[in-house]
Amino acid sequence: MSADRLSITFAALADPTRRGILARLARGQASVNELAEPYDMSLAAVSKHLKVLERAGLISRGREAQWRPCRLEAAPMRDVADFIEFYRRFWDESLDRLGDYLAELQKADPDAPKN
Amino acid sequence: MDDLTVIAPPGETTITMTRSFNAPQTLVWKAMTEREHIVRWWGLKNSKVTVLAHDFRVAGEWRFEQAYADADTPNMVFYGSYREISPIASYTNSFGIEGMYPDDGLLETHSLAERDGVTYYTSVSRFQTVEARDGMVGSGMEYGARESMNQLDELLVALQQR
Repeated sequence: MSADRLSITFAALADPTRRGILARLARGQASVNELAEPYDMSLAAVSKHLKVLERAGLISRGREAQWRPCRLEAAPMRDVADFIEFYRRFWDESLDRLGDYLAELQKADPDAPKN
Repeated sequence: MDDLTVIAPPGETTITMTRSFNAPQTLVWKAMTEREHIVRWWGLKNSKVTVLAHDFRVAGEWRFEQAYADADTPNMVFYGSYREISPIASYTNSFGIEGMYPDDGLLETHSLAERDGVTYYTSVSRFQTVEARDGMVGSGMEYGARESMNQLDELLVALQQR
């Protein structure tokens, strides 16, 4: 994963309109017009959201048709899942070690002042 | 005792972890916040941490390098700054990984409370830019990116069962 790619993904996902667009694309490819339909916003505004999603690698645009259908891309999502999993494991293991270390500290000097 | 729970509630951008320690709160606080103690437990098992910076005051920076016994695994540098400190009760820091995840995206608040000689630790990790889980998983929307989604769903289920 390139530097900061994860942050770009997270930022792209932080907007409810963009998540809505992704949800729509999960049911199959769609044109900009179709994607704009549920929203009370201009095509230009929707295009802006699509650009953010495209930059984050979350969607791709077809070249074959004039309407350039948008499609969902899965890879960045895997990065998010991997990061959350790593983070959980990181704290799980650190806190285990802290528990052992605290036991060791208290055993070494049971009469030590508590502070 | 290893009673870690991890909760990632749907509709929120947080991960909450709780765990108890058979030690007084003052000792847990020291172990968590003082350099000489941090190097003894911080990081994945089979790793060794070097404290490059630990300026434990508001706006002070921290930077820890983690090296693995396994030489094939590259070192990782974790960094951030301390944002709030309420001695022996709680502190908040930003959390980043160099070259991977900048520290403006994630804030961790670590809190301690003691009852009957047992210290209860709670951490809340807030993903600043992530309504990710909310949007992607919590709403139960059908996604075409099924493999990836299932992976995340399984992860979240696993997280909540722990």
